[in-house]
Amino acid sequence: MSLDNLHVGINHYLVLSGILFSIGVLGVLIRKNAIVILMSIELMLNAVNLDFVAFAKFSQNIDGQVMVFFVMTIAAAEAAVGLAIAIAVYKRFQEVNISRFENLKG
Amino acid sequence: MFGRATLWIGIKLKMGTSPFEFLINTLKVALIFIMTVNIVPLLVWVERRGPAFMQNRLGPNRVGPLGLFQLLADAVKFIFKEEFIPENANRVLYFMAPGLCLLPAALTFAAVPLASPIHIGDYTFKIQIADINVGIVYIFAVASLGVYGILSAGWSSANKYSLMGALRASSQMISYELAMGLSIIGILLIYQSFSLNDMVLAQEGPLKFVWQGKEIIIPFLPNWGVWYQPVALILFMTAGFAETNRLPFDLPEGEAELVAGYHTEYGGFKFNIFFMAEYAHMITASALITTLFFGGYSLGFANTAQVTQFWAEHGQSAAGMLGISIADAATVLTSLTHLAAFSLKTGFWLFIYIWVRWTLPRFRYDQLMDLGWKTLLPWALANVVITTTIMFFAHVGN
Amino acid sequence: MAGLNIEDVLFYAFGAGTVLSAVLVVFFANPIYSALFLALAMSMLGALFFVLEAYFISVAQITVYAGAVMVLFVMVLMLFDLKNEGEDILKVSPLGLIKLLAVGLLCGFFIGTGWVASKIPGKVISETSMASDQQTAINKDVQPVDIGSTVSLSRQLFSKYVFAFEAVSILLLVAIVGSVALARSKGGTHHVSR
Repeated sequence: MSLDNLHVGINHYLVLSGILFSIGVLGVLIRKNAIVILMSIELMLNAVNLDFVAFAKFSQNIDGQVMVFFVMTIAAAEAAVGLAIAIAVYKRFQEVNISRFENLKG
Repeated sequence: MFGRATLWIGIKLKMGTSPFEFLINTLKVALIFIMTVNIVPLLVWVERRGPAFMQNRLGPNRVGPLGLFQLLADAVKFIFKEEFIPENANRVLYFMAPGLCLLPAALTFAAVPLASPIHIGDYTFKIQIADINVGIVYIFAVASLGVYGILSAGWSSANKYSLMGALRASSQMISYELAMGLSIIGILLIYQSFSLNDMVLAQEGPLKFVWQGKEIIIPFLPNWGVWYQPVALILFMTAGFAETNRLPFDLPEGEAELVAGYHTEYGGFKFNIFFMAEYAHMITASALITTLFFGGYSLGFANTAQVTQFWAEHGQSAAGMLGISIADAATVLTSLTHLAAFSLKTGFWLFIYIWVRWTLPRFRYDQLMDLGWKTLLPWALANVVITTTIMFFAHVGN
Repeated sequence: MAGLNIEDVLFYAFGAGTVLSAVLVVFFANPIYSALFLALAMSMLGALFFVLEAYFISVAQITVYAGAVMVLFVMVLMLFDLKNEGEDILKVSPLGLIKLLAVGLLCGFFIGTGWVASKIPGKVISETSMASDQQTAINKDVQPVDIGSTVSLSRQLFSKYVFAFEAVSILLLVAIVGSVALARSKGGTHHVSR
């Protein structure tokens, strides 16, 4: 049991981002509140951002950070639109529980 | 023996030089935070006596000479007040909200340079907690986290007025964050750096710029940012007022409008922490105005090298007292001079903050949002365009 | 006695914090707690970016995600008082167990790949020197980059990716107009009552 494994390399960051991504997937699968599902999607996007930045550092290539820039912007736009939809749904149906909307009936 | 003990623990934190540096940084953090918190009583005294003088009345004048111990008495009162919690309040958030407000206010002050670095022996101490190379963007980032404290306070109080005050305050803060960030772009274009330390160093000495190949020096004016970006100063000041929820933008805590806005249900020590957070924000905003537009810690008429030279000639007694070499003592005295300059300038802007509060009436909410989106934003964008155009023509000769 | 750098310690500290906050996002019934913990997770991720020397991206993460997107989430939740709609997270059902198992497999896949990859001898991708990366760089004539400086980031952004930059700005405009149109109430906010 040496301490060399603990010295952080690219694989540690990839594992961390994988764990965060799986937690995001779990959130999307388990939760019924539409807004919490949106939040889990944001978590997944953040995990991907972490991957990009880690690769940018360990390959000394700035393109990873440029990608993060775009992913961040698009995720913010998507969150805004998603929340607007959730607000519209709430105004009409007084709840955002997705099990209510499973049947596509009025 | 100490080295062996470190080795025996098995983890040697390689932080540049040594645990000594770690200790120094911790000390800096503690000192600067305590200093920030301790200026608040003085500010509150100025806020109550100064405007009283302006309004031809007496402020608090019973506790201590000139009423200076009034806030001490207030603090004692706050500590002994009954801690109540509203019945339907969300307990966790209710307790956490003041801390959530104070944390960003304290963090933003970390990137501001307070004085020039001190050299003692082999070490160089920067009088700044963190010289981040994205300094100004870090400050805006952490300032944007201040919204959470307000939202938590308003929502967890289970009170309609608090919630409305919190939502108004948060939308106001977000709108003016935009204006604040955009108004700075002109300054960033001129100083070509995000780091506040670089900006202060660039503002030393007399006013000097390059216009189409010729270097123009105006010797009686300092090289401050306000000559380059006067409009940005006005925009940044206005946005700074709105960010700190100070009058004329203090609708969220307007006494006559919403009882007390988001801190209606807070009494005692928690209210004191909200208070401190607001004043800490004010101090950071004034420090930023000083650093970006008025030269930060630099003296207007002499740059750091000249001041060090002056103290090297006249500071022998201090060197003898402290037992360090004359060159080192000169840097210590230079740093103290710069700290005094910085404090004076920041103090002046804090007084302007307080002065404006007691002069202007409060904005209505829709007027406030109109000002942020329809006035400040276009002006900030116009500022960027004009700055770029002027800079382009300035470099045409090259 | 290998020494751990301060970057390693910070990675473990912030990494553990992020994972913990993320787990709490999923497992709190009250969505406001979830939102606040997600904001915390994003701030810790911003700190991780700082450790990875991506200074501008780190402050951008805190400004955009923790300071704007999550504030939007929290404001919507508080304004509409969207409480937990009788959701029972801890209800054990066969479908819930299958979901948990599937996600566990996914997570195990990630961890296993990372563990196996660390056992591969030699350098696949690691802290290589600038010179060796110049040989494998896509753009052979690109200058050696300092990934910590904003200048190199903006240089790439405005030269190689300028089309994507402009496209994203149009996308933001569309998103602004779209979300205002979607969340609008009838008559608008300056509704004049007769």
